[in-house]
Amino acid sequence: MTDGAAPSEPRTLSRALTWLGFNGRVLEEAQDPTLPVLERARFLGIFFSNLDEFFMIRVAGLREAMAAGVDREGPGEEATAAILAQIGQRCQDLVRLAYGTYEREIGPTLRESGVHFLSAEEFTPKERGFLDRLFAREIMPILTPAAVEPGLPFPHVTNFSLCFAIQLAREGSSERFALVQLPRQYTRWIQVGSRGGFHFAFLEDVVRHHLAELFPGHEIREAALFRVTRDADFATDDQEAEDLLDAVKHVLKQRRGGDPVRLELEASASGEIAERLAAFFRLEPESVYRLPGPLDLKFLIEFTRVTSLPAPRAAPWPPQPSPDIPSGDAIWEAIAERDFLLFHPYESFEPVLRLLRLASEEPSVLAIKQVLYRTASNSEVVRALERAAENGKQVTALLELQARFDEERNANWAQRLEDAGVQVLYGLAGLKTHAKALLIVRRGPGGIERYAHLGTGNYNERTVLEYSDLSLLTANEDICSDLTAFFNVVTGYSEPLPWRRIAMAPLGLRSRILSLIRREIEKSTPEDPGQIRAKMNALVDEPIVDALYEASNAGVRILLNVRGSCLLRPGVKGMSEHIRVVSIVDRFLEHSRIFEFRNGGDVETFLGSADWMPRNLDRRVELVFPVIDPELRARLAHILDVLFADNVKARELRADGSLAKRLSRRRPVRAQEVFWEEARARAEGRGEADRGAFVPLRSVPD
Amino acid sequence: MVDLAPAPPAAPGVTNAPPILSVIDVGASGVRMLLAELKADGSARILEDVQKPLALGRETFRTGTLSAASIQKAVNILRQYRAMMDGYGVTHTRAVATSAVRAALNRDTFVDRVFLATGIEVEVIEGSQETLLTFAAVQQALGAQPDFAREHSLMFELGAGATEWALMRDGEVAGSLTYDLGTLKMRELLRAESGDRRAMTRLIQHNVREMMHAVKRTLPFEKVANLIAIGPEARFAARALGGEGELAAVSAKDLRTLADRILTMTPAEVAASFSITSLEAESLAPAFLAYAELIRLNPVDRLLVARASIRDGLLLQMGKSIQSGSAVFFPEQTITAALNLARKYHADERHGLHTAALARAIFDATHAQHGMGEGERLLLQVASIVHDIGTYVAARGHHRHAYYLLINSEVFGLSRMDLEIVANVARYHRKGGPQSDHPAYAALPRGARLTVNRLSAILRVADALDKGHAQRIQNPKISIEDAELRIDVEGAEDVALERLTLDQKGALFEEVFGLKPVLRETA
Repeated sequence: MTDGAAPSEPRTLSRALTWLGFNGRVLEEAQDPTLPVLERARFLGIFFSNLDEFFMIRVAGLREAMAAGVDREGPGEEATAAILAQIGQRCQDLVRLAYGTYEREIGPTLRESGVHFLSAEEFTPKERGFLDRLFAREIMPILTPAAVEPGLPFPHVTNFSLCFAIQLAREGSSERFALVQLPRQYTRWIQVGSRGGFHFAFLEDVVRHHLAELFPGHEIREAALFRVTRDADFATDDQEAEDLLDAVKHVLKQRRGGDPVRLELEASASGEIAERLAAFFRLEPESVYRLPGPLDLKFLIEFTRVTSLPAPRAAPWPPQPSPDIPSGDAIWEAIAERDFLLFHPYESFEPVLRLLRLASEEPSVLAIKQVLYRTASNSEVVRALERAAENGKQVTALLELQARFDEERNANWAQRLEDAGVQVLYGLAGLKTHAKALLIVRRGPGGIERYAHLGTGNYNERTVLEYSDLSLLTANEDICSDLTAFFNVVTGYSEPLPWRRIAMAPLGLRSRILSLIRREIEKSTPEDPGQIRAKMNALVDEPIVDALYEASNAGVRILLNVRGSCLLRPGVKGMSEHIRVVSIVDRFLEHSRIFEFRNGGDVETFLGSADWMPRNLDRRVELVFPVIDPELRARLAHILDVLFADNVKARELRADGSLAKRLSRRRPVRAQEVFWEEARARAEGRGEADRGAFVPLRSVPD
Repeated sequence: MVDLAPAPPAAPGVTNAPPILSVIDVGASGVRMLLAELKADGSARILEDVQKPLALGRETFRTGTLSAASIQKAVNILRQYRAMMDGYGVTHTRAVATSAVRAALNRDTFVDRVFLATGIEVEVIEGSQETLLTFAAVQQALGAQPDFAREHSLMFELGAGATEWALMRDGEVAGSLTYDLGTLKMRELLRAESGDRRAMTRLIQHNVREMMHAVKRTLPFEKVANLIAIGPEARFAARALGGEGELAAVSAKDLRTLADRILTMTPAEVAASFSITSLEAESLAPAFLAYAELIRLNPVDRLLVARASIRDGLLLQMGKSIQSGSAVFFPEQTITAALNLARKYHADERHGLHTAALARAIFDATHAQHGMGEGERLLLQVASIVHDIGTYVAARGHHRHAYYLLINSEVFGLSRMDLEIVANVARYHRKGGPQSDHPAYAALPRGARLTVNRLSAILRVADALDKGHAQRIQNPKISIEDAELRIDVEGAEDVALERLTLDQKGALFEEVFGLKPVLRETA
């Protein structure tokens, strides 16, 4: 074969590798010297946090699949093995780069700003004394050394916990081995402040200094910090091979589930300890990461939230009020009159919280129904629901099924809600309820009134500040009717009935999307080609990818904004030449899902909670809803215009799966900055006039 | 005819809030509820539309009774519905049960258990009432589509236990029929032919042909322009085949293809791939094959599927009753059905209609005495129209023949109790009056016995006034004076025969109302 396209050209990209491309983009932000150092540190924390989850779920899943002979990634076991090898290589490279960035750039820059992480030798005697007292009083009592005895099972090391592997020697006896896990509930960094400035000690360094006290009569030959990552696939919904409802399988899976998948180890650890641990955890050398710096840099996310740090941080983009929405309880009437779209976090989540708060107090409100997915325990949302129930309203809160097992905290507030009289439900068996929806039923003078909030983001006070999401506030009869039916389905009051407007997973959302794509194909002509613009976190559903290829071949122009994993190979002649895929990584996590279909000029736009992934379409309860108001549809079109015009933080996915900078002779467009400026302009009453300044493109320039 | 609970006071602090209605339907395959707000223009705004699967039909049609477990399941569902109703402050409720409960030997136990546990009074309704309610909803939905008003349309619901038929002509029901073939029986047939799909198809086609013959024998039509299907299977077919709107059209070919596809799958697979319950899935293939065959047997090229359900009809009826105070629904259709019955047994149609008119006039004139309403007025007219059908069997004792003919008939829109009253009224249109040692009469509840007394008293007078079957007494002036019911007729016609008969047959009237009927001629 000498010319032409290779006949075995793969139809799809690797889900795992494209995801790693995304995380590489996050690392790129951490490496960007033009960003303030705390912003870079935050991105580095996010990079490691992402990677943790990736190993725990994705890599674990692939390893399992390989062990079970289940095909997950490619056409066979061999493909899975090959992908795993590529992932391993890529991760080693990324981690090396990340530590280089920390050790050579972020760490030193922080120090220059007066933020120091000190090692044991760097403390003054006074500081030393403080740490000694702290250790004796608070830390020592919660440490439990565990001896590793031959013939006894290896002590259990919790997923992600930092742990010392210690080699002990004692006169007259053979060498012994022990483990000391650091308490996870204890803060990772301890401020020691006698010199002015910001000096911190890592918990592990404080413990290391005192290890000998834990083993009286022994000499410590070596103490090496390590961290193990385990297969937690069982605890998540990211399952492909099994049926959650099958309890037997589930238990088997749980037993197998905790298998280690990655070992991280201080670079200074001896080869002997490294080998020993790798053997204990049955991990091959490729899965052992020797790290030339502090383990678990994920802590940087929390650390950079410490507001008093003197280091430079990004200028805040605080959420702006939405001037269209009247203040106080005039919001009811406003929503009854017309729909509102809120673009978070540029625009404040306050109207949604206000609506909920008003609903909890107003005597005319009969019922409140809400899906709570990853909601903080002491959140205003939970308090409002509690209050509403106490005020005698019918309150239904739907928690995702598996949240019950998540953390005790969760169970606590669920209990609190129940005690207040809230009907707490855990959704449909085997399906996580991922939809974000709130329905308020009120008795008005003219009859029953219904108000809905539908969104792409969770009711979580932190993520509404950090994730880019969209909210729709509406009293539209069809939407509210559908939402009423939706709650009846998820609470078990009714079996599903045909919807008026919305689409719900797992009941027909995929087929709805496929039919929308097919309609686009049918309406597309050479003179007037169809167009699909869609934004989501991941695109890994094969039937949808195939339909998009078909649409591309039919001449439909397809613009995709996919943050992470993407199965679709764009720009391949004869397959996907009309498809372009871009990904944006910037300050706010891109989290909204927007689906726009040209529909022969009669544009239809949907928002929702679902990515185009089998997980979301088959094993989660998701909602996708149309934006009916033409003005709001136009606003969403503008948002898509800006997103696709970004040439600063956006990267374009190439046919080989790599991400490339978008070369443009136009002036720089940074979408998130544009959105922030627009939100501020609106809040300040400058309104729409300024909007024109920001790239009102209708499609991506070729 | 329809008992409505009195409306409770409106929610505190809210005046003129629209009434909130709930209608519940305990069907053969599920329990469903619609909760709606009645708007000033009479339309209903649906607030809740819920349904839970429950295989009551499968149980009664096989074993004849409902098990304690099934009754408990129904109670549990209805408790949930009750909570929902209370949440909205529902002002009017109507709950009906159809074929599955109707056919159960222990239906009273069911009704009683539900009432004790939930406070919901379930009314077991007849197939013809079901058809009427659904028809009303379909008619409402079709609105003023003139095409349908002009043409003959056959509407049917292939239920689990039986198929209900109604012929529509000029926007009215010209006749109705309940035929004992439903999806459950078809499924049994399929099971007997396990695996051989062609044999199964032939069996269903054979049974459907038999049914169509019966429909053509019973309902007065030559050919129909539209074949309208109602019911969940039909709605599913429309959905699966992409039909939309109030009347979705589906072709025989598509139906057969869909049925073939479904027959190769297990009910669980059908349920999964079409997003329905496996219970619903079981009845799909037989229903689709039946639809396809019905299209073939009629000169139509497609089946029209109406979206409306019995619950929509119930809502419509309740709304009408709340707003106009009248609970009688489609009286014209019931009259038409009564006339068809009279024709079927070759009764004197003109005499029947004339008697009905006279009876109506007496009923209205004596309203202050009897205080009866629209429902009883309709029953009186039906009884008047059909009172002579017993002559089909024999002139001698024809009042007794009328009784059993009626008791074994269906009249569109009438409940079982309504029909028993009509049969008794016809029974007592001549010879001896109601007597407590007549078992059929004695078996009626007291209220119904009183109605029979009053209505048969009126019917006897009206019948006497047309003794000659010549409609000689036209537009009589009826008044009450000096303990007399005065019937004044103008003109020179000889009414001696009528007067004589009235003297004989008026005794019951005098007994019941304390008024002596007197026929007077005025100049």
